[in-house]
Amino acid sequence: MRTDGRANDQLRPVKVTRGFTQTPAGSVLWQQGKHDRAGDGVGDAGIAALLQGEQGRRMGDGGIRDAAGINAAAQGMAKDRAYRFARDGDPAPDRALTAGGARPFKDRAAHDRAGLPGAAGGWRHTETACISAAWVALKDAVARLPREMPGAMSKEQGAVPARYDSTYYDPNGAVVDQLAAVSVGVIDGRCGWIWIITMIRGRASI
Amino acid sequence: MNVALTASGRYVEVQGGAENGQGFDRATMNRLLDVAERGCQGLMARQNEGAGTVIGIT
Repeated sequence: MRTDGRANDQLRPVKVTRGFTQTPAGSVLWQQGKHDRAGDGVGDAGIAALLQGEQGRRMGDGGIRDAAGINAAAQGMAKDRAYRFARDGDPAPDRALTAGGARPFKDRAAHDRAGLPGAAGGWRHTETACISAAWVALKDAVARLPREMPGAMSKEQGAVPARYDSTYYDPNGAVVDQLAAVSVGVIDGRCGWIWIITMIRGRASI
Repeated sequence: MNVALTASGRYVEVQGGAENGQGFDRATMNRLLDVAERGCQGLMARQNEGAGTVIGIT
């Protein structure tokens, strides 16, 4: 049991604000607990192209992977950590299929005021928050795509680059899996999520 | 220990280390993964609440 009455494996309250910023196709603020924003994460998602079927398979089915420097729509945003949530496999920027970029709030002063040390491996729970934020942002971005590719060329019109071929335009099949992240640890011999550890510094062993 | 997990049950990332100078055993590792899995499932349930519905049409 934690000092606030929650069980060791009980999540903090989560608040999700969608449409957090206007520029990206999807943008989400994910807030966990009450840590003076030090535990908040922002996710932004942009869409470059969606390819499914044979073309998608030919490009590779990387599924979900860690991909720093992701091609998110939000310009000028620092992306301390980014994940791809959808089918990809081609590093060329114009072939990025769907991408969600995530960033924690960069208010280090607030982080320090909240007394949050870095978790093992360098994660803070703001990073777990921004991963969740980015996934929701990606789903929102995909949902805003039109059902048909605007102005798309078809195979019948001749040989066209696959990324302009409406045959492979499939927003509903673009997101291939879902992702979440937590930090866990042992405190006083019991396993729990890292948020326990951050509140009781010095008693954690993993 | 940091764990990123997909809804299909595949680990994207697992990283961690003992900070007590004594290490930890396999049983503890398994317990940590169990807790992490429950945590990720809880977060994904929260993610699913409303995600993917169109908002803020411009």
